[in-house]
Amino acid sequence: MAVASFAVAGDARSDVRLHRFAVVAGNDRGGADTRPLEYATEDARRIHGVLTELGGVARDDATLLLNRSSSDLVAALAGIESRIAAARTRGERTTIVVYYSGHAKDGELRLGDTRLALGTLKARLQKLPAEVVVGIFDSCRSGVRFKGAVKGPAFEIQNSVAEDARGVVFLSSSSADEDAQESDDIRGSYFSHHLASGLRGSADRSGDGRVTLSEAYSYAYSRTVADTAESAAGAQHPTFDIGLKGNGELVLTEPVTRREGLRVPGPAPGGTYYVVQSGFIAAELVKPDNEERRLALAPGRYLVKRRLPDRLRVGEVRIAVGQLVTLDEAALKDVPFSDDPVKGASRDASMGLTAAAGFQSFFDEQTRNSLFPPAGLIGIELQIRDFFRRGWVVSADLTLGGTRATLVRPDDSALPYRFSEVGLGGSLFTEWHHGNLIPFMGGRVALMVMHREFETKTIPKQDFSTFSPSFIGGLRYRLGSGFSAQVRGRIGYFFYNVDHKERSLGYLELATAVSYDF
Amino acid sequence: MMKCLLALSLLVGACGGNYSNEDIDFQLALPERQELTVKLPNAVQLEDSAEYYKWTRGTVVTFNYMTAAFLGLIDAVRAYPATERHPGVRVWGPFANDKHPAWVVRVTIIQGEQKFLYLVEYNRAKNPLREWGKLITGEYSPRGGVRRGAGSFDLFLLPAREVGYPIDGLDDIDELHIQHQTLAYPVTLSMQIGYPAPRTMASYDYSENMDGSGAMRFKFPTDSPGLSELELRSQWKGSGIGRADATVTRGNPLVVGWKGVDCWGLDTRATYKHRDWEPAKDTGDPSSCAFGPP
Repeated sequence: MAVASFAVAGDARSDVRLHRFAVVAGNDRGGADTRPLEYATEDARRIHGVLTELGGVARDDATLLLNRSSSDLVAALAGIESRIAAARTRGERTTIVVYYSGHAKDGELRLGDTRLALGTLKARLQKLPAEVVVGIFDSCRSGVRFKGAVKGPAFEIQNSVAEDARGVVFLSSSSADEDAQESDDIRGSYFSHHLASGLRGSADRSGDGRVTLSEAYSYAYSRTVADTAESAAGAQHPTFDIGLKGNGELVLTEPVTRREGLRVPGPAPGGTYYVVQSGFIAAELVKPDNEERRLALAPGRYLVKRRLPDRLRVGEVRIAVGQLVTLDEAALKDVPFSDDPVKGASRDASMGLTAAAGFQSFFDEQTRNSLFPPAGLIGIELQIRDFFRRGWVVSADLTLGGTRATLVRPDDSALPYRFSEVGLGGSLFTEWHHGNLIPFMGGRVALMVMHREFETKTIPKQDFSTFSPSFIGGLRYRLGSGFSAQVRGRIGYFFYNVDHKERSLGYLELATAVSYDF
Repeated sequence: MMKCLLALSLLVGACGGNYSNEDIDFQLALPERQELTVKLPNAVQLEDSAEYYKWTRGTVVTFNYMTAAFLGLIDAVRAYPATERHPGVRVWGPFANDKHPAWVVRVTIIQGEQKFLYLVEYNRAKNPLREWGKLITGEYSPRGGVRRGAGSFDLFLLPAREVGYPIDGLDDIDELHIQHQTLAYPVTLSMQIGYPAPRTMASYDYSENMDGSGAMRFKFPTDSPGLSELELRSQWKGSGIGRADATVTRGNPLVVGWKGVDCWGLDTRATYKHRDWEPAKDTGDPSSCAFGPP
C-alpha cells in the first residue's frame, strides 16, 4: 500500500507549502488458498519510484513495505499519521497516497498469512488528517467493492464551489468479480504498469507537464482494458470511488520537473511507443497524431518500439543525466516481429533440495520373486525451478535402495541374497500452484544399476544396468519458511535383456519427501 | 541426427550385465568340491599306523588330488560371469591358462532335459588347432538343493598330452572317469583311472553315511611278481576306528583269493593284523575289529 501526496492544480493557496506523503506496499503472497503473485512487490517498487522521482514525495516521507504483514501496514499508517499532523501544525497542506498491490479476497487484503479488512482500512484512511487521501488498490481477484464504486473510463471532480480539493478517493485495478492480471512482458500488473507509465508523462493529455489524478486514471483505465481485452481471463476494468470536494485538479506527478526523459515530437507518427529496458517494457507512451508527448525516464539506455501491422519500428535511445532526448523517427529501423526486443520476463531460477524415502516394486510377480524384489528407497534430489520456463522444474537425483530376499530355483534350491540398487536420474516436470498445494507431473530418465550378492559364495555377484524412463506425479504442500512436504509416485519402464529374453518390465515407486527451497 | 545416434548408442552401451537366474542354474550345474572329496576321519598318519590304513589314506590323498585337478579347471565358471549366452547354452572363456599362457581353455555348459552337459576344451593361444581339444566331458543332474545331484565326468589326458597341452601332476595317467551322487545317503563317488600300458585300469568306490562313517573299495594293479591286482575294502566309523580287508584278485593262481586284514583304533595304530601268507605273525585281538571279527 502506498500513500503519495499530490499537488492541487490551481491551488488558491499556492503560497502554502504542500507536504506530500506516501505509503506503498506490495506482497506477492496471500496465504492459504491463493496462488503467489509474481510481480506485486515489483509493482510497489515501480509506483514508489514514480512518486519519489516525479510525485514530489521526499524519500523520508515515503514508506515502502515489501512482503510485510498487515500489522506492519497499520503501523506505517500510524507513523505517517503523526507526521501529517505535525506538518499541519506547521501550517502545511498535506496529501497522501496509499498504494497496495497484492491479494484481496472476501473483503480483506491478504498480506502473506495476515489479513486486513477493507472496511477497516478505508475507515482508517478516512481518519487520516491529510487534506487529500488517495487509496490505490491493485488487487488480484480483489473483490474490492467500494460503496459507490464506478467502472468507467474517466471521472471529473464535480464541485461548483471554488475551493481546494479535499477528501478521499479510492482507485481499484479491477471490479469486484475480476482478476487483476499480470504480464511477463511488463514484469508487473497491467494496471500498475499503465498507471506508472501514465504518471511518467504518457497520461498528460493536456501537455502541461503535469499528470492529474483524472488523467492518470483515465490513461490507466483505457490501457488496462485494451491490453486485457483479449486475455484468457477477460478484460479487466479499473474502478474508482471519489469523495472529493473542491474544484482543484489533483496533480499526482510533474514529469516536467524532471529534465531527463524522452520527447516524442508532434510530427512523429501517432500510436503507442513502448520503452524497453532489459527485455521488458519499462514504460509506454500513447501519442496522439500531431501532439507532442513526454515521458520522464531515468538516465540509461532504452529501446523504443512501435508496432505496425506488418513489422516493428525499433531504435535505441540513450538518455544522459539532465538530457531530454527527442525521438528521431528516422533513427528507428524496421525489424520483423521475430526480433521483438521484448523478450518477456525470465524469472530467476531458484534451487531446492529434496530428501525422499519410499519403496519400489515391479508390477510382474515373477520379476518381484526372482529378479528384482520390492526394495526400500532413499534419495536426494537437487531441483532448479523456473529454469527453462516458469512453472517448470528440472532436477537431478540420486537414489539408493536395497533389501534381503531369497531366490528359489526350479529344483527348490533356496538362495538367500542381498539386493541393492543405485539410480542416477534427471527429471523435468511442471508444477501447478494452487495456494500451498502444488500438484506436479512430468518425466524422468534414470540410469539404474541393480546388484545382488548371494550368501552362497560360489555364485558370482550379479549386476545389471539400464536406462529407465518414468512418468512422475505428485503433490507438494508448502509448509512455510521454504520447507514443503510431498508425496510422489513414479511409474517406470525397465528393459531387461540378459538371458536372451528381452523383457519390458514396469515398476512403481512411491515416496514421501521433504523439500527446502533456497 | 548423428548426435542423437551417438547419444542413443551411449545409452544402449551403458546397459546390460550378468544379472541372470539362468546363469545361476548353470553355475549350480557343476559338482562342488566337497561332493568330490573323500573324507577319512582322523586322517593322520603315524609311522606305526596300520599298514592298510596307510594304504587307504594314501589312496584317499591321490583320489582327492585327482578330483581337485578337475575342479580347478572349471573354477572359472564359478568365478566369472558367462562370456556368451545362448538359449540353453553358456560359454565361459576362452581364458588364458594361468601357468601356461600359450594355451587357452573354454568351458561350455548345455542345458538338457533333466541334466546339464559340460565340456572343457583347450587350444593354443597362437596358431590354434583346427579343432578345440576335448579335455573334460561331463554331465550333472541337480536335484533337491544347491549342488545336490548326480553326475559324472571323464578326463581325457592322453590326446591332450599328445598335442602338447600341459597336464600338471597327472603325467602318469591317460584317462580319468568319475561318477558321483549326493542325492541320498550314502553318497557315493567312484573313480576309474587309466594308466599307460602295461598297467591297466584302477578303480575306486567310495561311500559316505550321514554319521560320518564310510567305506572305500579300490582295485589297483601292482608291480609285485605274481601279484597283478589287489582289492582293498576299507571301512571306518565316524569316530575314526576302522578296518581294511585285502584280497588278491589277479596274479599267480596260488595266491589269488588270499586275504589280509588290518583293524585300527582311534590313533590309527593296528589293533589286529592278519595275513593269510604269514599266519604265524597275527597280532592283536580280532574282537577289537570294527564291523565284527574277521
